Amino acid sequence: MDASVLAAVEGSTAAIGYGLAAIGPGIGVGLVFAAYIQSTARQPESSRMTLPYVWIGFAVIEALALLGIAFGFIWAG
Amino acid sequence: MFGQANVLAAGQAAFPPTVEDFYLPSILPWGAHESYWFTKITAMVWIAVGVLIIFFLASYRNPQLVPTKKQWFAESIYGFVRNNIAVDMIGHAGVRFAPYFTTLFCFVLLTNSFAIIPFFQISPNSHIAFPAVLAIISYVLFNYIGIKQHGFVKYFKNSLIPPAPWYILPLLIPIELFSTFIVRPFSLAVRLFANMFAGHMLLLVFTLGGFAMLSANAWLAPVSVLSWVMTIALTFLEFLVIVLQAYVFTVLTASYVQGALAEEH
Amino acid sequence: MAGDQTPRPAGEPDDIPSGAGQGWTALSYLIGGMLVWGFIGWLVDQWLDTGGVATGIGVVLGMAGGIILVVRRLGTPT
Repeated sequence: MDASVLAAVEGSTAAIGYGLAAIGPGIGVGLVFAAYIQSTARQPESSRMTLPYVWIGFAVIEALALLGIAFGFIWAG
Repeated sequence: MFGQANVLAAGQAAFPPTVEDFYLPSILPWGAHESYWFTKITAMVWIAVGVLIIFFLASYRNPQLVPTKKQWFAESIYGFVRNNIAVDMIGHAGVRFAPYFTTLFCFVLLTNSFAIIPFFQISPNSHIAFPAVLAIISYVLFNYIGIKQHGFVKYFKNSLIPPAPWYILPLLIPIELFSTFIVRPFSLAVRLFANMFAGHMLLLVFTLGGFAMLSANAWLAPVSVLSWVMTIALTFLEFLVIVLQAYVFTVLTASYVQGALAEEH
Repeated sequence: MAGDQTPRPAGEPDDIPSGAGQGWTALSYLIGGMLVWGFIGWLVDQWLDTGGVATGIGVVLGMAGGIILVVRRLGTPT
């Protein structure tokens, strides 16, 4: 490390990148299930009707987190 | 190799425990090294098979209208598997699979509980071979049932071709193939194996860790009591895992059979 | 119990489906799609020496396939 560098990150930056990338999907999945629980609590008979949309939303959001893992491995530098 | 024996004999622990601790000494050529034909594990599997056969034969040898205690016990196990697993998962057609599910459930439960029964204290299922064979039996079963129910072509068409437009099918069929025919037996086997392996490893860590701290120095010696208290607590947790994994294995097999029997899923 | 041959009627079709089972199905489709097409992309990568681009394309394709499967299998209102 030469004198002009004030701070350096050692190890895998891909891990840090994935940590950052997981924030969004984490919040998103939380929102999806929070909304489902809330709607089911308010109107229990709607649970079967809303469940398919829960899985669509979950799949689309979770895909981002999984892509984060995959890209972290593929282009780990 | 003789991790546990060392601890008791020499009073010093081989800490941390390794995978070697799962390979127990040979029994039939007594104490032979590198001989795995008849070890404690093999003996336990045969004991489990024998106990199950004798128990169910004995309890149903002379069935009474008002069941004896033994008969009541055997019948409630069978009734539990038939009503709460086979019929719940598969429906009316599930009754004919109930004998297999009961055998599977009892065998997995018994071999799992060897993990915490004194003097056995390791589960045969902590070696991948035994869960793997059980998973292969279930795999062959549900494929055979599906082919017998629908015919070869229709069964694979049902399970491989999802309801989607033709132009995305090439994208989807490999995924279906992977998740239906490759991941299923693998996850069945690995789930049971990993739970029993981790459970035994955890108990070893805390037991041997107690010995390691006892022999380390005078300050750490009292802490070893804490470690052994943890071992007792973890034994109860282990009991929970044992029952749960036996149940999960049977339920998943039932759900795969249900999927194979279903018209289209 | 073991002797009587009149099992109770089959489970009602309109009881609530188990949420955990569906969740695992969804997750396994997504991961499965990613792994399968990621592996195919990796093979292409080894063959054409494209330095990870084909693997990335494969993963994205597989993820799209996984999402389509989840939508088709779980996302259609019954």
